[in-house]
Amino acid sequence: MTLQTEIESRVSSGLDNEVILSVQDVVVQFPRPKKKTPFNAVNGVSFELRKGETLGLVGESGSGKSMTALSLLGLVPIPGKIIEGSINLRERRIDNLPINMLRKVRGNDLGMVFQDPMTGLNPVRNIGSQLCESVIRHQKVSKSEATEIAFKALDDVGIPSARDRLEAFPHELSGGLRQRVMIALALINHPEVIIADEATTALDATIQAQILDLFRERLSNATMILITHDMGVAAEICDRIAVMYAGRIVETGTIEEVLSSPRHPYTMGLLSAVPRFDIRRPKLVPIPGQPPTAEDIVQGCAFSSRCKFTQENCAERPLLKKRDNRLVACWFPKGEV
Amino acid sequence: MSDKNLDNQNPNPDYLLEAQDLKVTFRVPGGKKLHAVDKISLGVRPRETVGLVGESGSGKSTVALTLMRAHEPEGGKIIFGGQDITHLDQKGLMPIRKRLQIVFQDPYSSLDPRWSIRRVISEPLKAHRYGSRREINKRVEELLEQVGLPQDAADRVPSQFSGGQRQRIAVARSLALEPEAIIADEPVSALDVSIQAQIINLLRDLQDRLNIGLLVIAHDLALVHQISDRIIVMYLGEAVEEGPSDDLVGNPQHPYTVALLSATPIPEPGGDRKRIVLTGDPPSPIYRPKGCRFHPRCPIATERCTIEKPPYIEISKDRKVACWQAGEMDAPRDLWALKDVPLPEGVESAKK
Repeated sequence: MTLQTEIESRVSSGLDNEVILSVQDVVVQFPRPKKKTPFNAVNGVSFELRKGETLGLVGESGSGKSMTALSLLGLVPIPGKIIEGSINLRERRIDNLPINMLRKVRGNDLGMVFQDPMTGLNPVRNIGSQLCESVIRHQKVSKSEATEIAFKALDDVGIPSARDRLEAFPHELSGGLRQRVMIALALINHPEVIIADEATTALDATIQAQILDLFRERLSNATMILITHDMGVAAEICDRIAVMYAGRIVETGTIEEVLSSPRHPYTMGLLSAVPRFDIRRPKLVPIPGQPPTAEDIVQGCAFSSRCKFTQENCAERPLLKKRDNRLVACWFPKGEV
Repeated sequence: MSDKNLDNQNPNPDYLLEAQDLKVTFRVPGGKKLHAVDKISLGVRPRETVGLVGESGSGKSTVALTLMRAHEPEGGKIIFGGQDITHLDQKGLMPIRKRLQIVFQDPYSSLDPRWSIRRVISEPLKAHRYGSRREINKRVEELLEQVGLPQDAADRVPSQFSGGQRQRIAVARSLALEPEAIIADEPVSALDVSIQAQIINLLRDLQDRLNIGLLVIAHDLALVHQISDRIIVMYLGEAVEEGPSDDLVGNPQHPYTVALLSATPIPEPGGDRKRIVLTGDPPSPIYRPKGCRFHPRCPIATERCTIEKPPYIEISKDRKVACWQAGEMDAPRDLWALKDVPLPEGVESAKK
């Protein structure tokens, strides 16, 4: 790579842009009534999101990726709460805001696309009134202006005959259209950051492809966090990914780097476990065992019980350390053993 | 191209499990009919894995349940081991059930939460009078070992196991009576990626060792390709293309297969490949389009496609397609192996 192309690629991937969202050592804790010790669903997560980049938070169920997203919006379900760390949107701290301030942040600054549009939308109100409610809450506009904004928002996400759809109820739309409405709702107040939590998981393959296409077309310059369990989906639209395991980030890097040369054994394991249309049809290499659950208390590296490179050091927890362009939390990352 | 072997009424001696022109409809409010499965023909040979792939509403799970005789077909035949079982009564089905088993999608709802694993696995054994309690217990132990679970699992209940372990239990139950064929309906879609691979490999190993015919139903084409010898692609209740796995994926003939292939996200670096994105949603199986069912979404549909339904024709051995424009669309992605690209560093692949 020449210097010029390297600079270009760094700019296009947002690596040198200003930091919009900065998450520092966030711990989300849930009490466990039957046990003495609480459970940390998110256990010291730090990352930065730069202007114009799409960051993928990738991990399996229970890895803490959704809880990380919810903590950004102050939506951690009770009785869980953020007990440590800070979240800053530009210079402003947003993790300790009172509810009335938080409501302004949601929608205005952070837009959220939830996984399941059937539960994310109100089933007994039409699409138009739900979009208008959000517009009127955040922008100083009249009802008819809000309707016009709602129409444009639907049209913008590729909903055909958008004007008529304002009258439609969620159940009258297909899954793909409902998800487009969710995206319109997240974008309608032009938030600085969009958070999409498994936005395509509930959809069929060809519909998922449509939504990913929409992301690529309309949101390629957006500042976005995409939460997904699917490395393939991340590969389609992310600039950078952070792989999560047991409440912590274990590896971050540009999508190209992580996919072509994963350094953390868990990332390598995940990539070895997915079928990829290889006509040699090698057997998949599963990761043995199970990820730790809320019941398990993990000392040291949480992945060590499933890792084949485990040595004595792994009893102590490895911190995220910079290696080349990447952060890897492992004592023995690939390429250094 | 000739239209041969499509209306055969005799069981194909090759096949262990066969559906001939299977048709399943459901009545919906308003007196309308929902055409879930429309004249589908498929066969599974002994020791073969056939993948049935399609999106929600394509009728793939209805095929599975109908083959198990959980739905009554409106037309067509189900043949197992040369015997027509389409209209067998429950008593007549008993010996068939022993030879043909099913694994369901969701191991959280397919296992009774109050039953011990021993009871779950031994239920089919007792139903078919396998033997004394000691023999049954011995068989349960054997099965737990086969699916990679510890012996002490037998006296625990499903809630004490993770999703992947529960699916192992469901597999053990399906193996209990040494069936000749197993239908697996989305066997891994409720599981996490790293656990999916465990179950896929388990199914593949067991099949190799126990010589079972396997019909795997799934929505994920990459997964179906990974596990199957042959693949059948369904759209709106009909088979639109079938063929040996590598040929179907490497040389797809039907535009829908091409689109599905393009739509399957694969963690490959270099996200700039050519993509084919279908417009619209799959039509309703109540109000189906005329002509080719796929034509409203097809990027290369012609006028003929809107009027005349393409026949499902055999283009070569085991290779069938229903499309007037078959082969007109290029495969969207080069297969990993054909590109001669090594797997990413650190990413492993075991030998077959």
